[in-house]
Amino acid sequence: MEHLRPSVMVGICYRDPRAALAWLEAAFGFETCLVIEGPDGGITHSEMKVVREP
Amino acid sequence: MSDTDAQTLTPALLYRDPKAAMLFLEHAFGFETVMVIEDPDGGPSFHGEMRLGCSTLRIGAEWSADHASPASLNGKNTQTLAIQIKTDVDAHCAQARAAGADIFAEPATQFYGDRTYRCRDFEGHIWVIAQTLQIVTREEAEAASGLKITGWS
Repeated sequence: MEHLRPSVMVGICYRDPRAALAWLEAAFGFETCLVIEGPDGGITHSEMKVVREP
Repeated sequence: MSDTDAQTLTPALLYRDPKAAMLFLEHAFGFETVMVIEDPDGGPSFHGEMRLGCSTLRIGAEWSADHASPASLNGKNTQTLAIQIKTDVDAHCAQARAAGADIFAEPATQFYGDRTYRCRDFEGHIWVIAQTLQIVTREEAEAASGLKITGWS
């Protein structure tokens, strides 16, 4: 996995994580950087990054 | 208050007893207290800030009807906190246990190359602590887990 990670990360639980990824991208400008899916297509883990303002 | 570029996203944790929480987080995980704002009359206003490495964490009280500790919600969590360390995760676990953390998943090496343990703190917040032991490629992780991975780097 990635070498440089912040020392503390926060994980949020959603009933519908795929919808949450789309909503957080649209509403707050987060960027999806990792999606791990199970055989049924459900998301088991994902990671988003805050895109800094210029 | 000074370096607004240090961190863009800051998680906040709510506790029934936020002052006790800050002591616990110092002893269990090595957070450092950098700020406390409190009501001199012991009222519900409380704002604490702690730091670990390059990360900041906010500590609050149950300050509205929509803000609660897991201790007030039968242990339910809607968020989890992950700590990434560079030092020995087994020693970290021993320190957390000594400070009163409830270790519900003992240290174990995961398919993605990290060794992790999971615990609940004294009010029920769930924490996962990870130390990277080995760099694993996406192909290796997919083969080991049977999962489909997009965006691994």
